[in-house]
Amino acid sequence: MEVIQLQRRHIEHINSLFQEGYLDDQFTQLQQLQDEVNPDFVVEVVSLFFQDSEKLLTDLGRTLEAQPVDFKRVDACVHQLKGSSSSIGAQRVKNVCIPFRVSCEEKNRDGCLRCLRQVEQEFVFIKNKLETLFRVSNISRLSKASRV
Amino acid sequence: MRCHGCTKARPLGVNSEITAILLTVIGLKNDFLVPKKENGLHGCSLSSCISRAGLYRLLLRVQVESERRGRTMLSGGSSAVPATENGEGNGSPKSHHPRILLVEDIELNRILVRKLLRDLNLQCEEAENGQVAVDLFKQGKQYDLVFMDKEMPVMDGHEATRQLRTLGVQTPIVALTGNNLPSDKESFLAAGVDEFRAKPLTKNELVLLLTQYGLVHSSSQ
Repeated sequence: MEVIQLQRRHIEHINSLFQEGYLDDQFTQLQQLQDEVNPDFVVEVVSLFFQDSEKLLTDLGRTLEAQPVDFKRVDACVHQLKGSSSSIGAQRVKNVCIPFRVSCEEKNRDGCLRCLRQVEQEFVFIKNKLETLFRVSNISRLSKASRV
Repeated sequence: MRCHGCTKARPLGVNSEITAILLTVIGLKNDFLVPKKENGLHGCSLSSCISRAGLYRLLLRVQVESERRGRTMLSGGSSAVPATENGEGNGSPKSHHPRILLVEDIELNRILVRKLLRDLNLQCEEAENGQVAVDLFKQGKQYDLVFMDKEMPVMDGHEATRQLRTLGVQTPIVALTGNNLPSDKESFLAAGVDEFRAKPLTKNELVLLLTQYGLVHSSSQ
């Protein structure tokens, strides 16, 4: 019963992330790549996304604080963030990167800082949600295994 | 006196030494014009001007089929068709393992494409920017298909494509980009890519592409 509840909670959690636009179909594509040979593929790829994104966000903060601002470097970081968030289906993070790149092109420091704050918020949110999802999924898997 | 090309060509196909390619302005949908493959004939439509890449793809498919049937299309190698990895060009049959080059700077994206290809029992070589890709070709490496990202450090996809075409590389190049803008598409096509796709590629899209270039069977989904 507990396993069923956990599984239901897991499904509801994922569905809400899709419905609220935090995740898009690319996350489903990612899940479909997971198989018996690579049972932790999603967790590994998403963890890599978290690590890379944290470094990029730190780099962005530092670069935007410097005078003068190296907008080329800012743009390169945002390009990376947009690419990797798109690949794992983190839709809201990806969407904020679009106006962020426009601000870079316009060499608009204030615009970039606004976008940075937004992307940080979206990133922290999706990171927390996905980490919770993986914890629930792991507990469900362990519970199932212990009953065998 | 006019005569029908198929009628003339069929005896050639029966001769196991020759693979004939028919060129027709009418197209291949009419059964009357479609040569039977078991006679070793392959069709090519000239209803619109055939592109260099289109001709290359056809020649590649013909070579793969010829090797499967135990004969090589060309001896001594040709610039139009990739040589075998061991440089064998003198008639010994060799199974053709598709060679794919993925040119992409973002590691996560490379991981995903690599996994997609592995699931299709394919492998790829990877280049983290356009300069690395160009250097691979300059070293004499050959591929059946190149996936080319647009924005990369050191050398971007446009410039890499231009340089590869200037070098005479005729390998099909599929541009992959996160921006699906018409201007992006036009500039990439002008640089010399054969196709343009938005990233990230789904598995179905990848299979369709690889099938189109004869690198997998469509049942590989």
